[in-house]
Amino acid sequence: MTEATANTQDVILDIKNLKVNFYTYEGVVKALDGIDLSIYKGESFGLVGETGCGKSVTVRSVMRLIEEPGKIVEGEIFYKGNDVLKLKEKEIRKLRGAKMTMIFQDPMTFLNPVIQIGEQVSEMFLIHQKIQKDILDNKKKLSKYLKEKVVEIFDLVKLPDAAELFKRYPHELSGGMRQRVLIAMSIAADPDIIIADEATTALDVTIQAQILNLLNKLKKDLGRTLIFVTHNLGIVAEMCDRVAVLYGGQIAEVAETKALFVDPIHPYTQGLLRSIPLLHKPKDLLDSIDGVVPNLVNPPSGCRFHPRCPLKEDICAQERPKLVKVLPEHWVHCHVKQREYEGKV
Amino acid sequence: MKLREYIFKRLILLIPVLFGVSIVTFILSDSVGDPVAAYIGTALDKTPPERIEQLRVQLGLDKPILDRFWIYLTRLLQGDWGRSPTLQNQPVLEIIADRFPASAELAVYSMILAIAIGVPLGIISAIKKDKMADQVSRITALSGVSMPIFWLGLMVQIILFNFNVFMDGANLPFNIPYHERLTLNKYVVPRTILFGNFGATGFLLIDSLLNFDIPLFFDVFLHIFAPSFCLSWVQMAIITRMTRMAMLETMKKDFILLARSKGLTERVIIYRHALRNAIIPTLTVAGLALAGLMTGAVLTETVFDWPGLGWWAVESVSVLDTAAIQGFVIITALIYVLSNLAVDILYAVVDPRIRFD
Repeated sequence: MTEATANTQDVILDIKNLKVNFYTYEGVVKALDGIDLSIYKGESFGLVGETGCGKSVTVRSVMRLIEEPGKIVEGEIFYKGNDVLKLKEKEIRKLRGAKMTMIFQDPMTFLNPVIQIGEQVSEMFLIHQKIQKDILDNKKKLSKYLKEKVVEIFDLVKLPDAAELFKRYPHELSGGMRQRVLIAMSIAADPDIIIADEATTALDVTIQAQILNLLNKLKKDLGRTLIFVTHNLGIVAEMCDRVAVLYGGQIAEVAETKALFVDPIHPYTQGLLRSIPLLHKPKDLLDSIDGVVPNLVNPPSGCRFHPRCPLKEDICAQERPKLVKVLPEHWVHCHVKQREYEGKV
Repeated sequence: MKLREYIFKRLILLIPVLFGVSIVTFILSDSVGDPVAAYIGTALDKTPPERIEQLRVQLGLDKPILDRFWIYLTRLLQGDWGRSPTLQNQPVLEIIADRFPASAELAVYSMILAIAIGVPLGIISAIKKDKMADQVSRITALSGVSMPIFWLGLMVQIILFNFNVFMDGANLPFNIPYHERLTLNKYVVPRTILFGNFGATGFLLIDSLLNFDIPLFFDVFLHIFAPSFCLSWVQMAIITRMTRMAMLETMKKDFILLARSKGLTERVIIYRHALRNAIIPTLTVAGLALAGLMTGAVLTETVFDWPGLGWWAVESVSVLDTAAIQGFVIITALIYVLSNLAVDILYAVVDPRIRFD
């Protein structure tokens, strides 16, 4: 706790040694193996990594949305000084949607197909906002009030014909519109933290840009904390103040976006950035990282990246490195690099 | 497409379906045996050939098949569905009008019971998967599908009989009956009371209420209890399992995760967000089962002396009562088609996506 208390004002979300397992028939999948992350108030934070590296699991743990057969086995997640993992079910429900919200990946499947859109959004106001008693008691007044609120929020996310959309069903809307509805829903109760879990992956590029601009604007205007979960490095470079790179359920590197892209330290990050094709430097063969993504039922010992790492030493297979600050605002999870940068902070 | 257009379109489609059914029933009943035999019965050997020939002409059996079909079809449309020797040569249409309400009332009542018990039980066992409540509901459901209904009926009768004997000294104002549709007013058929010959609905529970005849209502209610309990037990089992499966499936969907992330309570998630999606397979099963019950639950009707379609249909098949069989098949087809339509409309009401397909 000593480190966390040092700058509590800045840190809105503090994840410590988070471990999540999935108990499947093939064995225990150790999806997260001791994640440490601090997220500052008002920043936009990126969480990148390959598919299956634990990005979504991390953010879902924050909202305690890990479902069977998954289980959070260890760790603490502090939100404003309270451990989210120790809250009662009733208390966590008051956080979900009101203080932290999540914009999910696929707008096609995350809206309830049989409930009108306006109704789905107005639920957020109903459960998370104090509504005056005389409105709450009068059914007509209440539906009018909710409709006004929903139209307001639809206008904010630039949904056209907001009043008319209220009575529509999800299948009558395009993907981009549905994504906007999801965003509208997530900002409806004015949360502190908005988590975008691959929120633009399913959309085409122009819509993607619109949605990202919208999110950026919301962050700036409302001063909220944004967490981007994505495998798209372009989005990270564009949108995020700081980035964490995940590999196989461990954090490889945390740094400010510019520092990470200009001067990556962890060998995995270096490999990741090298494998982005560049238009002005055409190559015959694209770079890639040798080897395959680890099987998390039986993960590599020590540093999980060591079987694919070009800098591998004996210690990497035996002992797990710590996440150590090697430069100001730059943490690395690697024995070799830590030695190299020792004393530079 | 608007819901009303959809219903209209489906109703129009009924016409070709029923025409097809009439062709099939005609050909089938024409090819299975000699209808004259049904009229003569066991006296076939003693009947002179001239009399048989006369009967053939009377029944129109001497004409070519296309002519006969035409006659059959026009009569069908005119409401002349022939007479059923199985029941003292009464007109088939009258028998159906008389007996169908009995079957339908039993069917509807037991279906309501089955849904009222089955759906909540299914939901509970989905939520408490593999816990005590789930096991109890599984055993209940298993007992429903594995007990033969005639055996269940007999057991219920025995229990009711013993109950009545046991309660004899208690001077209850009623006995729980286990036969027929009503005891009070047995000879004053309630459908003649208020709405003329055909009654208001033929459903005694409703008709008695319309006539403000509370003792009759109570009597009918007691009568329908035992057979509908037996019928609903089996249906309840199927509905429970169906609802459980669909609920488990739906609770894994993405939109449920979203609902959780919104901070909704588990109750709201289950009843508002999941149930409407999960109810569709249950609707299918319930709709088809209801149609099956309406056309007569033969075993139950036999055990409880219920004056429905089932007993008559089986009897007329065994004596090759052609007119009765044809009438019964047409009615069955009509009921199945209508109940399918009702299920489809309910789909469209529950799931807005279907209206656009």
